[in-house]
Amino acid sequence: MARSWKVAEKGYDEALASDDAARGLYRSVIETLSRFDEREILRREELQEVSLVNQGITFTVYGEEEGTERTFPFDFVPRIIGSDEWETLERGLIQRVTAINLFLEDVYGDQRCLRENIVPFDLVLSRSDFRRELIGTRPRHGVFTHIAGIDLLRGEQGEFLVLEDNCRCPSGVSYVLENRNLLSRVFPEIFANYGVRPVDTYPQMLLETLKFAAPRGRERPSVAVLTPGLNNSAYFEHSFLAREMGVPLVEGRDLIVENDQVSMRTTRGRQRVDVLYRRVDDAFLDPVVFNAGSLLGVPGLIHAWRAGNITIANAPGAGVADDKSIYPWMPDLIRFFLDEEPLLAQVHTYIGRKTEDAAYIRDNLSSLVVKLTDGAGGYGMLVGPTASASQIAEFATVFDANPDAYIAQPLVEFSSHPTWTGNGYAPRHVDMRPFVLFGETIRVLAGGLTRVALQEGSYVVNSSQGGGSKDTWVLAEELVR
Amino acid sequence: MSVMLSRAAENIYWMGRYLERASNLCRMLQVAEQLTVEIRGLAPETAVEFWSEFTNVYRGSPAVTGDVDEIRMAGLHNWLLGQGNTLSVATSMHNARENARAIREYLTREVFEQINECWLHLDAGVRGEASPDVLLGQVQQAVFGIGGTIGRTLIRDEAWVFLDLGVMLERVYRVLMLLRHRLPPLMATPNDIDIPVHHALLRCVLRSAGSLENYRRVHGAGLTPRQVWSFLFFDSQSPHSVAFGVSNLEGDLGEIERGGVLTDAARQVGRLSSQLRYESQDLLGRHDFAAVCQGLASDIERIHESLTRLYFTV
Repeated sequence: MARSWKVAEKGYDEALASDDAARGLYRSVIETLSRFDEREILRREELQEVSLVNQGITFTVYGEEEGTERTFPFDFVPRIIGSDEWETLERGLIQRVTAINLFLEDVYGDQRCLRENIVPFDLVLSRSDFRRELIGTRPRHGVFTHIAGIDLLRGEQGEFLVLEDNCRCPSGVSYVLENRNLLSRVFPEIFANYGVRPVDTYPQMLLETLKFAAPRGRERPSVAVLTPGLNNSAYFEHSFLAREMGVPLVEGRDLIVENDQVSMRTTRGRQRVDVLYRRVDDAFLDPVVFNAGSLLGVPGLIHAWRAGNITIANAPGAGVADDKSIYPWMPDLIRFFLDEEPLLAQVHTYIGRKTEDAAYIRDNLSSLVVKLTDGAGGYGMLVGPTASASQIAEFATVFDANPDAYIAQPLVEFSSHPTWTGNGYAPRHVDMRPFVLFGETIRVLAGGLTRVALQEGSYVVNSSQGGGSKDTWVLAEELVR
Repeated sequence: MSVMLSRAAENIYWMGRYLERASNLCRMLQVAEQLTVEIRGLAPETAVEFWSEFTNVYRGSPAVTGDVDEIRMAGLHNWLLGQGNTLSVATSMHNARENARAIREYLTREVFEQINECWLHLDAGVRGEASPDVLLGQVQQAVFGIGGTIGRTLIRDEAWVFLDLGVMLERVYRVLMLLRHRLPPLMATPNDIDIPVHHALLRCVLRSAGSLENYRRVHGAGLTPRQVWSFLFFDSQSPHSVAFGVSNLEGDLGEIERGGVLTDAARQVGRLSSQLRYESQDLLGRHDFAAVCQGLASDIERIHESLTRLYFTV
């Protein structure tokens, strides 16, 4: 081989069995990439970057100068998943999303799982994303999470583990599509021996899902994507999805509610909206019901939704299911609602609101990953094993002030994947977010967002914290052609 | 997408205006550059004056003083890259890009990429990574390229109409401002007129409006201020004439009229169109040319206000 490939020293290496020895599915891609010399790789990498910049495929970084746009670094070594393994994974994801929906329908309905103490009553009711205002509300078809993103990682034996569920506004699918588009243009040769399942069907799948969720009696439902606006970190994605589905991208100020009907302000007057794919958090959706100071929301929207005149996807209140303190109960919830054993394993979790767990977390900060229960994007998180003594001490003070707000997990030595570092290939940690759509049936996009921690030894894959992404290939056949 | 959001219509309208503004300004800067080369030996004070008058055509920038080279570089920097200058090419392209980002779902990938690339060129200039005189040619080509890509790739739906309304309104307004400020001094013809410089300045007016070659096809080599006025006002086939622009505005408004009801904007444009069609001789006979231009420019401002009321604040 022209270039050397190093197997991960710790954890599972997805592509290599040992140095320079590729696993079966990876043989062809590694052979092809090894034929490129460094100059050629750098030339193509530059093409890649120029393409991302020119196309404006960016996300907005908070906390810096207002509206700072950055590209999401892309690594061209694709992650490959065989069809058999994907099939198993798909079944596990469908099972999990089914249970999540039944849980949501139940907590806003009969609350059987609370009364039977499957999940502690006070735990659910005290979550900031549990919306008391919505008790007694059942969305069309009982679906709360039309779009879910389930974060996975591979454990030490290569087995998939669920790390967290994203049931509010999971983002990243635009990068799944753009990454495929980019890789096929910049490194077309590596696709030669693979039957890779397409991902560009997603917008159509999403539109079908949204239309299926429309209120009764709407023959040709009108769908719109609701965005907080240009300065939101995921604005590119909101705009991308609206464009790909061929539907309007609206902001709160474009909508008006009269007599519990939601309309858009158009050049031809007001036009009814039937389905709103919202990318705005619950708290900002409707200043009448939630955050009174919200300028992003639409006064009266929740009343219109409760009256059954509009579908909001995902449904308000769905966020309680992805609260990190509900996550430890997911296996029990699957057993309770489906009477099945969970097909996907998950990471053991300590809960800050339990006295004994809080003490354990406090005593073992240096070996745990500690997260805010309602946090996202890697903010407010401590990765104990890689943190300095002063960072741990500082975090301990914050934790002591409100242990209820945290959960902790042992650091899983999750899998690594060969990644181009600028002067060679090296193993870097990766996770994956597949996207699951709940419409007439539950469908999983054959691919997902693989995020990669670009810094050597880092476990943080979030885009806002220096992570990058990879194209994820799900093969149509088990063996390469 | 059959529905056109009012906010989207406003964004695409303004995107059209900003792109047209950037394109006009690039052309005027290029013309000023060429004129400086052409007449700096013959009449350096005229070159200085030409650059200074940018402030009149595009109001709002600080006056610059100095010799030809100083004023040229300052003018170029100010009008191409000036961030404080709300009318500079960089500001216009920044605004056009922000509008494009807000309505990306209405644009083709090619259109957005070209706008973004052009803005990236300018951004490099703003950060001092490229000299304005080198950048001007690149940016001008990029801006013209955007117009071509829009014409070749965008669907002719309502969004197109609002885009064209923005382009045409801006174009007519800028041509009127150009004529209002550049032509009156050339109409007064004292005995000691320097014919080569006078002709160079008349050519500049036509070139600034992207119309020199078109003018020659109609009038040949003959060049008088009144012919230039007549051509840039009334020629119905020249894309930068006032008549052409108004006729397009009329067509655009016809496309989007609400249920056949004549709107304020359509009425105002119709009146302007009739004036240009049936009162051309009266207009050409008037000696208060600057006032004529100013009057028409005010009409254009009123049409903009009517459009805003009708379509953008539903």
